Amino acid sequence: MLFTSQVWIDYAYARRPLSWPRAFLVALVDWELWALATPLVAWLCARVPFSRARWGVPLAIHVPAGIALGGLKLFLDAMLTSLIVGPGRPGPFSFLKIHLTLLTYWGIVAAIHVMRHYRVARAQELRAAQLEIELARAQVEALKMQLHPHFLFNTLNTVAGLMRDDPDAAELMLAKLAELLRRTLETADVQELGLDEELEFIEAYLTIQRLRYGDRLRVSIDVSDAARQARVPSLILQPLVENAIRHGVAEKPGPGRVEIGARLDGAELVITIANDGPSLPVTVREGYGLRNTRSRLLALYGARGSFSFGPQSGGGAVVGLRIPCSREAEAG
Amino acid sequence: MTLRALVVDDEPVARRRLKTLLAAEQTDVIGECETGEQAIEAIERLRPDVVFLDVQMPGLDGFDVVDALEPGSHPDIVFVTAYDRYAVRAFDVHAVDYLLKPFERARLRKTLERLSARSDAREARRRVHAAVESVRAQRPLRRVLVKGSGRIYAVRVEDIDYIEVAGHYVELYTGATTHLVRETIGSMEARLDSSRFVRIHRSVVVNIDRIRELRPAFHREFVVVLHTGHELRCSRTYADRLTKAMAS
Repeated sequence: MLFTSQVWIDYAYARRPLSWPRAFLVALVDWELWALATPLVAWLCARVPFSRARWGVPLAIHVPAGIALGGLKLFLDAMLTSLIVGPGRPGPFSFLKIHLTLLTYWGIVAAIHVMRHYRVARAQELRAAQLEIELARAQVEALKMQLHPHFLFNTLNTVAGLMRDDPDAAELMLAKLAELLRRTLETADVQELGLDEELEFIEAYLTIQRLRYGDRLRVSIDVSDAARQARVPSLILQPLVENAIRHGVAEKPGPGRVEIGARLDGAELVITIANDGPSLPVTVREGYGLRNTRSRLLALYGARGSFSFGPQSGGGAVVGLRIPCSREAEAG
Repeated sequence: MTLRALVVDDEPVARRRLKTLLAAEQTDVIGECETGEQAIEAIERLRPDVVFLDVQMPGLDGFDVVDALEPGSHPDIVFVTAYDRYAVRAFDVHAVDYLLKPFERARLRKTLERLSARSDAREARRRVHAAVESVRAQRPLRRVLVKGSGRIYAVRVEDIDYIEVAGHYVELYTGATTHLVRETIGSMEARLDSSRFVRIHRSVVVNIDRIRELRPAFHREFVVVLHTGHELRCSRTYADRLTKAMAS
């Protein structure tokens, strides 16, 4: 109504009165043309968006594009309007309309950018929330592992056993148990840390398990110096190493081997954890450890991270992590 | 008379601690084992008066060892465990001796005193078996004990493809091998995790994780195709239960 009366008044003022329906059509054409042009503007905004860092090139493209599109729009507008109001001079003020047209063009560009920012911000918030949830879960699980009755009481029993015969070993075991608990509590809100730190955590855990199982548990760790500097999600290895020991050693009589390896492959960090336990059944139900690892990698790295799990040739199982590599130095 | 004891635990430090403590209590430790299999063999061979038996072990666990023993003539059993709520409740109910890790000397001394004061060994054995049975009844089976000719071993339930009646026995199919167990299919089914093992025929229970696909057949029956390619028949009576279990 507003735009129709505007058109009606404009034409009345130019002494070419229009009927209301025609005035309505003229107003409609004006806005329909913008509606048609909007996807084109949106496409252009997606290709050359304005950002704080980059505005020169977008400006160089959007200014001529605005003028061209505005001109085209005015031309089509004039053609269609003359069809509606009859031949003769195009509607009044058509020459002045170029300013208004350019303003509208930039108005659409601005609206698209605002919407885009809003969407990106929402997605980031969502992702951050997701990550926090996954980290919280990993922490709870790490704590549960340490407070897992079997682990805790067996560890304490080993300490009781070592106390008289080997006080040094008993002391070491208590210190490592304390270290495990402390590190878990300290990583409370750290999403990522250096692989070397994560390995120290694993070492503390392995020291305890080695004292418990004696010769039965054989562990080899093969991590390149470059890989040690890479950053990994905090507490990501522990559930996997725990799995490897539980299935590879604890469920199998005789000695068992766990191999932990990490190396850089181009811009990716590749981590493998293998055991030589009983061969896997054809189908495996994914336990908590595997599920959480998978969803954390997905939340942190999206398609850039990957996780694999399967039988190893010659028995046992192997898990593999592949994550985009960021050095500690770069992360500050 | 000094007691002759056998110590069974998969952790070396735990064995050593028990040995040291027992020696201090004038008990003669005549042997130690780190697996259930070794324990069964050592009990036969050494004929100890008492066995200190860890419940949680790889392969055959403490309960499997008890199951494998001749119920009428085995030594006294003292269970040792770090943590096991169900088992401890069952031990209490059936007045069976047990030690919780880490235990104190005083607790061990009390256990030994009770053992030497015991008058009816047969009654004690009966109670041990009753306790093991009630623990078994309370939780889904994790391993099936197979008494083969000359050896006893355990089959992990997740390795079982399916179970089929064979006369008075049931046969467990695991890949290319089979294992004969003296048990009815009904009692076997009752002991297994029902979200994983489903009866599909009067004489067959299948591990649903091993099913590749179902092919509808006549009379609302199904042909159940396993990942191994093996085909089983699911009769009409059980078809609903199978599809429900697979969907959950």
